[in-house]
This record gives sequence, C-alpha cells and structure tokens, in this order.
Amino acid sequence: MSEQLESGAPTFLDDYPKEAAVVKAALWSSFIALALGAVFGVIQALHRTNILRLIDSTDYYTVLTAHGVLMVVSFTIFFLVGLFTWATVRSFDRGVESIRYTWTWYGLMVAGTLMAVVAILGGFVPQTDISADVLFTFYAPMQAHPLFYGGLTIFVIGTWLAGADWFWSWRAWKAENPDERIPLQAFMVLTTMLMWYIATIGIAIAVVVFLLPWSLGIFDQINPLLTRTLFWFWGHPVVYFWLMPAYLLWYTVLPTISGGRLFSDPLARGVFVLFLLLSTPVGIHHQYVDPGIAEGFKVIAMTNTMFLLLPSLLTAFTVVASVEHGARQRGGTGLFGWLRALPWRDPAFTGMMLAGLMFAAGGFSGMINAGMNINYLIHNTIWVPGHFHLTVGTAVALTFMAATYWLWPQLTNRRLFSRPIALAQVVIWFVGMGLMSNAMHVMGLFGVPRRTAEPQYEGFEFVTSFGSITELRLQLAIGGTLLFISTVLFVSNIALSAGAPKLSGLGKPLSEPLSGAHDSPEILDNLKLWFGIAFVLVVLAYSLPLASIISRGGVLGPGVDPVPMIIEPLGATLEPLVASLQPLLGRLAAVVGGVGA
Amino acid sequence: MNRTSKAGILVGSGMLFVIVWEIRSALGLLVGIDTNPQLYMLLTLAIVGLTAFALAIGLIGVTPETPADEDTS
Amino acid sequence: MSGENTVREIGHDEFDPYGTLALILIYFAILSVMWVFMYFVEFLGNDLTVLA
Repeated sequence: MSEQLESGAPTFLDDYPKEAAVVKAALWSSFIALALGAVFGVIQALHRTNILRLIDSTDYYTVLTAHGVLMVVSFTIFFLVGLFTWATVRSFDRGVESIRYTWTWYGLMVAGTLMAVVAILGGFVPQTDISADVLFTFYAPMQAHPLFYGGLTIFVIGTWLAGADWFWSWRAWKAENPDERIPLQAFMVLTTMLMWYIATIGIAIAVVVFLLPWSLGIFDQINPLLTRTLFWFWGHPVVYFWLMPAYLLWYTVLPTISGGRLFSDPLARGVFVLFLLLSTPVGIHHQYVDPGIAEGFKVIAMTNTMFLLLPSLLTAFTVVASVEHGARQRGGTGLFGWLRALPWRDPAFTGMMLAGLMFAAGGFSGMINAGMNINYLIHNTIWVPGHFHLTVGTAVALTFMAATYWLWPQLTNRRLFSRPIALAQVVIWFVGMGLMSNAMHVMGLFGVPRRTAEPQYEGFEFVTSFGSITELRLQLAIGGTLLFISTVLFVSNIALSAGAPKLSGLGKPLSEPLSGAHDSPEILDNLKLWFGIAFVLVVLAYSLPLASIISRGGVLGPGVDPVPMIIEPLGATLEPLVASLQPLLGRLAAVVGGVGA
Repeated sequence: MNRTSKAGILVGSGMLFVIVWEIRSALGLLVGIDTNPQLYMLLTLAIVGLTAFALAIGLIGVTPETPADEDTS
Repeated sequence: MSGENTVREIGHDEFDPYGTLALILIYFAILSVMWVFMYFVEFLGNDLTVLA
C-alpha cells in the first residue's frame, strides 16, 4: 500500500531519541493495561449476561475493579503522560530538561500501578488477606488493602512530577522565547495539568488523610459521605483528564490527517481554559441521590455541568469545521458531499472520526445523567456504564488507538504491521460498542442495575417495552466480545510492528491553524489568572457542602463498618487484652507500692 | 465503474449496520413497535450485505470528488 | 502547508464551514427530539423507581 502521508521528514525518534524512549515506554504500559483490562472486560460481559461464567460470582467485584482501574487509571493516564511528553517536546522543539527526572516519574507511576494491581489481583487468592474489591469508585465504606491506597498515592505523585516536568520545559522555553505565544499543544498540556493539580487535591486528601490510615487500622471509622464527596471532587475532572489528550489529538492531529488545517487556534485555547475553569466544581452531580447534601448544592453542580457542555459543543464545531476544511482542500463539494472526499482508508482518521461520532451520542446520554430530576430515571442502572463506554470507552480509547496508528511509526521508525487490519480494528470497535452500549442504555431504561454479577432475581421479571432481556443480554455479550477482539487486533498489530524494517523519513509534520495564535487575545496565555479563577470557583462550589458534611457528621463520623473487613481496628483487638491485664497490673502496682512504703 | 474502495465499503458497512440495528431500539422505545429480533437481524444483515455487494461490483456508489485518495492497492 | 492530496488551497477568508453547520444543526435536532422523548415519555411516563 502506498504510504500517502509519507513526507520524508525526520521523525520524533530521529530528533529526540531519548524522549521517544520514554514515550514508547509509557505507551507500552498503557497498552499492557488495555490488554489486561480487556480480558477482565470480556469476562464480565459474558458473566453478567449469563452466557459463560468462567469465574465464581463472588469474584465478580475483583474482576470489575481490575477492569475499571486498569482501563481508566492505567490505560488512559499512561497514554496521557506519553502523549503529553511527545506534545511538549514537539511543540517547544526542545528535549526534556533532565531525562533522568523524566524516567523517575515514569518509574513512580509504574511502581504505583504494580502495587495497586497486586492488591486488586490478591482478591483472587483467598489465602492472602490482600484484596481491593472496591471498584474504581473506591470510597468508604468499601475498604481495600493499604497496598492499594499506597499504590494510588505513588501513581498520582508520579503524575504530579510529570506535570512539573512539562512546566519546567515551559519555563526554560519561555526564558529563551520571552515574547512568543505558548505553542498550542504545550498550552493544552499545561492547562490540563493545572486542572489536574486542582482536581487531585480531593483524592489526595481522601486517600492520604482518611482511607489509608483507616485501612491501616489507625482510625476505627471515617465519614463515608466526606470520602465520597472528596472522591467525586476528583472523580469528575478525571474524566476530562482522560478526554483532554483526545481533544489535543482532535485539535492538532486530526485536521492534518484529514488534509486541512485547524479552523481556529484561539477557539481551541478558549476551550481548554473553559475546561480548566469548569471541570472541578461539578463533582456533586455524581451524588444527586446522596442524602446529606442539600438540594441547593446539587443545583449549583448541575448548573456548572450544563455550562460545561459549552466547550464540548465548541469542540464539535471547531473539529468538524477543520475536517471540512481538509475535505474541501481535497476537492470535496456540496452540503454533505465533502464527507466523501475524506481519507476514510486511513485507520487513524477513521478511528478518530468514529470516536467523535460515538462521543456525540455519549453527549446525549450525558445530558440525561446531568439533569437532576431525569437522572433518577437511570441512576445506578446499567445505562451509566453504557454512557461512559461511549465517552471514555470510545471517544477516548478509540482516539488513542487511532492516534497510535499515526504516532507509532514516528516513535519507532517502522511502519505499522498492517494498515488494513488497523482499519478493520477501528470499525470492529465501533460496531462492538454500538451493540454493547445500545444494549446497556436500553436495559438501563428497563431498570437493570449496574455493578451486579447476576442481575436475575427470583420472582421478579424486568418489564421490557420491546424485545426481551435475553435478547439485550445477547447483544451486550456480542458487543463485548467484538470489543475484546478489537483490542487483541490493536495490541498485536502494534507488537508485530516491531518486526517491520527500519525506514527513514516517516515523520509527519502538523499543519498550521487557519487562524493562528497571534489572533487570540494575550490573556488566554495567562495561566496564573485562569488557575486562580478555577481555584476560586472550586472553593465557592465545595466549601459550603464540605462544611455542612463535616459539621453534621464530624471529620471521622458517623462511621460504618468497613466492607470487607481486612484488618480489625487496633482498638477492638487491644481492648480485651488490656482488660485481662488490668488485674495483673493492679497487683503489680500494689506490690510496687508496698515495697516503696 | 467500481470506485468505492474496500476501505470505504468496510467503514460504510460498519456504520450502516450500527445505524440500522439501532433503529430497532428507537422503534421499540419511541414508537412502541416490537419488531421480531431474529427477522430484524436478518433484515439488517441483508441490507448491509446487499449494500456492500452493490458497492463492490460498482452497481451503486459515488464518484469520489478526488481521485487522489484512490490508490491502486 | 498542504498535503499531497490537496487539489486546492483554501485560506481562512474563503472558507465557510456551512457543511459543519448543517451537521451540527442535525445533531441539535436529534438531541432535542431525544431529550423531549426521555423527559416526557420515559421520565414522566414511568412509575416511581426504587433505587437500589
């Protein structure tokens, strides 16, 4: 097949071999997590639909936790750090300041992941008391082994240091280029990391101050609503942490591979600033049914959430307009005819476009989730997994895979093993997700719960307005299987590419925006200002709810027993011991007293 | 005149399958029409298959605006 | 900069993304219809739901 995008330009590997090694290592970590996560995913899909039950239902939550954590923490965030390193180095056109430092944060992230994964997989080994069946939403009263929380902490510290690495590059670059605008990709990286620093305050407090000491037995009890709220303080912005790398690719790579140029650089900057401002003060919209949070706070969270639709709609417009520009440059005409002129045979292009299409559908179910009243219709039903498999599971995951087809040759100087297989892979993902997510949404409307190993109940039948639950289960299982096949095709395609011959000139330069950075107001690059405003918004949205939760329940109460009990609270174990020792101590004291007198 | 590439047929068939199949859910939820699942699936596959076949032999299809995309592979 | 497949260069001033506008309008129409359906039929039309 002729490589139509071949440019003869030097690749990232040619220019920055040391950095390319880190990027490749991070992407490989990401793909290993994806492959493992896919195994656990297909086990679940077949188990809960009662097609094939390979595991005992008591192990279901171990599988569910492994799937969730590997996919949305390891796969996404390892890909992010790899991509952001590439984007920072590429757009500043300078290597990292210290490659040893860069490997350090990568090493921390790997160590943290391994600790957490060992804790989770320990759930399969009943002989050990190690387990972490707490799901990705690891708030109290679910309790994990301390190893899990320790691993998470180290992983997050790794991401903080990674962010510092990119800010370090920015400072060094700025010293040499004081009057230039921040390059677009670097701007996206920096704003995303500022959002991440704000967001991780919540999870850092939840884990380090409450969950870890609690699982070590230092505290008997903690305030479950407080850790839930702190979890969602981070739990919503984290979805944008997954999404922002995909947006970076849609804004800066997709226009080029569609043959055009980004429609507007200022609009792209504006969108990332809006995400920095609005991503965090919305977390309470995950807690619409939580008692203990006043309705008014929920309304504020809902309002912020609706505002958050704006940058995504701006993105839809800008990205599609940029693609249309590419199509028209390729000779496309007509109101819709231009769609035919696009490079659909390019797996990178097709994958990203299909991902964007699925994201549009996910935008709809997201609107339903975000509405305070209508949320009750689908809360805790399988509709919700249906929704986030469209967003993180397709918009993000499929974009990452498609982008890998574009980026990988530039990191390895080797062509992809097979472009036709790559194209089939992205289409299989699209079809598989179409089936699985559709079945999940429909079942959710019929009230089928999420997070359940055996959603079949004696003496109760789900009422369907059409078709049957059996059919929907089958649809879910077929979809899940297709997604698994697609993942296998992706990972093996990348692995087999290592055997392709080394070539030179595989570099693919990115096109300049139609409306460049010089058209955008200088204030957009004032990162301190945006960080400050974002911080104030978070304080406004969270200080009152948190104060009310703490004033009602106390910092550590009202407690509940942890589930499952792993280490008995120290106090409970010591009390009988102390009681039995008391007479002895009394006698000892009397003897000592007698001697003294 | 066979101008539709294999890639185009693959991508198009995938999208067509998802669209036609999801219409079943839409009919069921929105209008309350419960179509027979087996029959509907067969019909979906038939529509997708026939469309793909017709595209492959050049019976239908659009002339791409740009021949640049159509290489010889 | 232009790719090999570019048959004509289109600058900022001569490009009107009316195709994009059409697609976005279709998307909004679909969103509105589905939201109305979700709210009035599924949400208001259903009995009370027991939350697990």
